[in-house]
Amino acid sequence: MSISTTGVLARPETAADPPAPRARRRWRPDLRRWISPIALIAVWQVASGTGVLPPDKLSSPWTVARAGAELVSDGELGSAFAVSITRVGAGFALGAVAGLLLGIVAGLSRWGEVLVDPPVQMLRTLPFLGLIPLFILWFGIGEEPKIALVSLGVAFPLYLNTHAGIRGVDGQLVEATTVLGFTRLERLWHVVLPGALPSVLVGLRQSLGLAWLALIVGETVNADAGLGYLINNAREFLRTDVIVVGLVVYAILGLVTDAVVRLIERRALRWRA
Amino acid sequence: MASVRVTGLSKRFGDRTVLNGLDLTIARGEFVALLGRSGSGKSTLLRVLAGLDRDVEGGVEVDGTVSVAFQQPRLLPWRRVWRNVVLGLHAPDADRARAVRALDEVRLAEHADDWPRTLSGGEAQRLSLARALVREPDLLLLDEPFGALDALTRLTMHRLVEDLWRRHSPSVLLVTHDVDEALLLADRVLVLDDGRIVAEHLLGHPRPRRLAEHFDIRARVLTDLGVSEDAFA
Repeated sequence: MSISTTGVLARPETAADPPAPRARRRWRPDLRRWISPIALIAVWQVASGTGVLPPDKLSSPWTVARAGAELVSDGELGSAFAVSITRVGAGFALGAVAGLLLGIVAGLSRWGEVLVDPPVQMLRTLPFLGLIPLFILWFGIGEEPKIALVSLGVAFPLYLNTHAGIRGVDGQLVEATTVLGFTRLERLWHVVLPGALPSVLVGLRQSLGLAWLALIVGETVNADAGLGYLINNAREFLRTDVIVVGLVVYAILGLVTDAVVRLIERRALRWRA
Repeated sequence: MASVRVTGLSKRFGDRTVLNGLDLTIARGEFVALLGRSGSGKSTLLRVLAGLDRDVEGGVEVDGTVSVAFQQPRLLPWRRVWRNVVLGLHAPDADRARAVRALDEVRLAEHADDWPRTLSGGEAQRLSLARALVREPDLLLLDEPFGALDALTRLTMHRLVEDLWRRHSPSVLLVTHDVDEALLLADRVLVLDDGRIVAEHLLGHPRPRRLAEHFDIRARVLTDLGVSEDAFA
């Protein structure tokens, strides 16, 4: 075996260094990006202060902040928050289990696909928020219609992405592990599910976005507790400051859940980075 | 005893006959190259020997463990390099030390903790070889494993495969359409056409080989494959 030849020939290949392990990305805020948001709030405050923006249309930022502090200190916001979070949690859990299970069944088995996919695809075309009147007739005006609405919003994106993710798994990888002696269950666990994971996480993000949307719509149409109730109640008393507080809380919740999914993606999909 | 004994093997896809009463014996430790034009049934035969296609007629006996290295390395991208190596081993053997030893043989030990995505094409293919060999297979099936590599990397891989074969001495069936590769590596070169073996050439030449030694056989093999050397003259 001619070592020297091998050594020389090996070089062109190894010369293409793999990308160096990326330097840990430090989150360094670009402070300039704060200029315009702060300016907008300042304009808003000035417009309110000079009476250009009457408080029955929109309260000043300062009034909103005070209302927020007040709602927090008297516990009203806390309890509304707890009610809304519980609704989303329950609806998400139900919808996620249904979406994942159906997606896995349709993804793994031909019969599952034939039986599950057509009705799900048909139902998917219904605008699920338009089902509220039916849900009220079916479930009344308690917690059930809101939870059901959130579940529906969550189930469809998870189903679609799980199904597509499993169908998209590289058959060559499955074959390669078959030759390596993997059982059916091992292939499912080590090849099919990890292969479908990126797609499932995309579905998770869409699901959570729709979950908040479903909650807001469900709570605004009828509720006697929760953030939506807080907002609707404030409307009756022209409390635009409280309405804005409620909207800001919704926005923060949406941002936080999105950040959580991003974190999960970063950890679970490190191999793709 | 032979490592592979195939008798009267036939495989049909619908009304198309891909393998047609094929006979093949591979001795223990023998390096056999299988040449054929595309569509001649090479890959089908390899899939049958790998146990991936059991819906066939005829006798197929394969002795012991079989490993395959495919044209694409087929690594699990979500497993670190060393974990890909030991995929085919069971719990107590599948440890990092064993993986690193196998990686060392293909000069990839320093990449043990990397993700497969960061490897070059040749490195990924070497990893695929390490994964096949770490199981100490009795039969190693190579399905055009160098086909997708650039010419320089391919030459390196030829040396590596020869070296690994001598060290582990499995029987090898190398499926390829590269005549020079077959002549460089194999003890015996078979030509597959229309689903059966139509020619066989023994190569007694000492290793490592240089191509010039084989020009007489090369012309004959090319004729077997239906390529006439003066066709373009």
